[in-house]
Amino acid sequence: MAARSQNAKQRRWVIIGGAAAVLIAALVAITTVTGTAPDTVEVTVTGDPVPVLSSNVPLGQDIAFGWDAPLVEGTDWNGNPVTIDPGDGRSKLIVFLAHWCPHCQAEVPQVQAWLNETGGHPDVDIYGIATSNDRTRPNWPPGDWLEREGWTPPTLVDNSGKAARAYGMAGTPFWAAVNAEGQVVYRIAGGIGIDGLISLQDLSTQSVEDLQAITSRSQS
Amino acid sequence: MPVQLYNRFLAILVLMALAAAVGLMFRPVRRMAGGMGLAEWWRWPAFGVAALATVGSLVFSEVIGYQPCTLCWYQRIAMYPMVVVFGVDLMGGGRRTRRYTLPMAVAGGAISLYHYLLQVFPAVDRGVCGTGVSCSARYVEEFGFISIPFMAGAAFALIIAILLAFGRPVATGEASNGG
Repeated sequence: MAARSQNAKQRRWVIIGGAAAVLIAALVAITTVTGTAPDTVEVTVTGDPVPVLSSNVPLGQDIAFGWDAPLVEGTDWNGNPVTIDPGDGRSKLIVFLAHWCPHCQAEVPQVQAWLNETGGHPDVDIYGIATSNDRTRPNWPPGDWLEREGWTPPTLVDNSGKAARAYGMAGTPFWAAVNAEGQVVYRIAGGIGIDGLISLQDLSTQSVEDLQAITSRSQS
Repeated sequence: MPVQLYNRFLAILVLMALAAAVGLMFRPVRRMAGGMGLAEWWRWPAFGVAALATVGSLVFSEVIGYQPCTLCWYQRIAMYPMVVVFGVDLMGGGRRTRRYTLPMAVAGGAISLYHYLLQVFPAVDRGVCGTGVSCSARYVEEFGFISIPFMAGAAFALIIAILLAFGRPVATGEASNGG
């Protein structure tokens, strides 16, 4: 009888021990996980989406040239809000990155090295958009990848592809230059390197009229 | 948040499992654990570990959507039947549980170890995963080193440790403790 009671007590302890381990793990997980996971991030787009870039074309020939850029709101990987507001009076470059895309993996360190070296253009803000996120593809999760690269531009998580569609993304990396008036002045798909980045920054600091004048001069 | 939370939860359990597996290698810890009831009731934690690993892997693939690679399937082949074997044993049907489960756990653990090495050193790859889902891709990387094969390896390691420490075959005719 005593042995049976001892046995039952031991079994109870084993079960309680297992349950306690699971409970402790759950509590530690809850208290140590911070921020919003990428899977729950919502992206809000205000304004009309610009058409898809059918192919890389010279300045002024993009169908979206001069279009009002849409406002995009969301969060980064840590749940911090990221707003890309074309109406804030600042020129901006927006780069759409896919974690699995080799050209993006090559572009990010180049851009970051240049930013570290120069501090970037004082009048141009650079934003990242982590898009085409797919946990079944390499280099997942993109937040870890960008952190490893020391990526500093605010980067919005675009799991649904909403932001990418709003800017007519056509492959990654994809750059969109938006001027201080909030108009799309240039878009390009593919890696652009530092020379391309500098050119894109220059474009983003000019008005659509000035750029039109440049293109008409070069055509005549 | 849920996926991140889930990964962290499993990662902490994995650390606990590893600590327990290492602890069970030492006689004083074994003696203490045995005195607390594991000597009699070791089937419960063994079943719990196998069941948790099974459910955990199914949540990864069926709920979260991580596609299992070839090596993941091999580990599943080793892990899933242990739930049944330990489960049957829990109901009083087992006599030689260790004989059946230890080889499965060792084989599964070896595959987990190889899979983890493949993730850390992709050059080790001898094309076992072919052109399907990548074996070296890391869906999970908690604390910078805990990936899914690492989790599986820890589960196998704890099962092996429990079996070696307490799961000696029961002689025919001796009553199973039902646990």
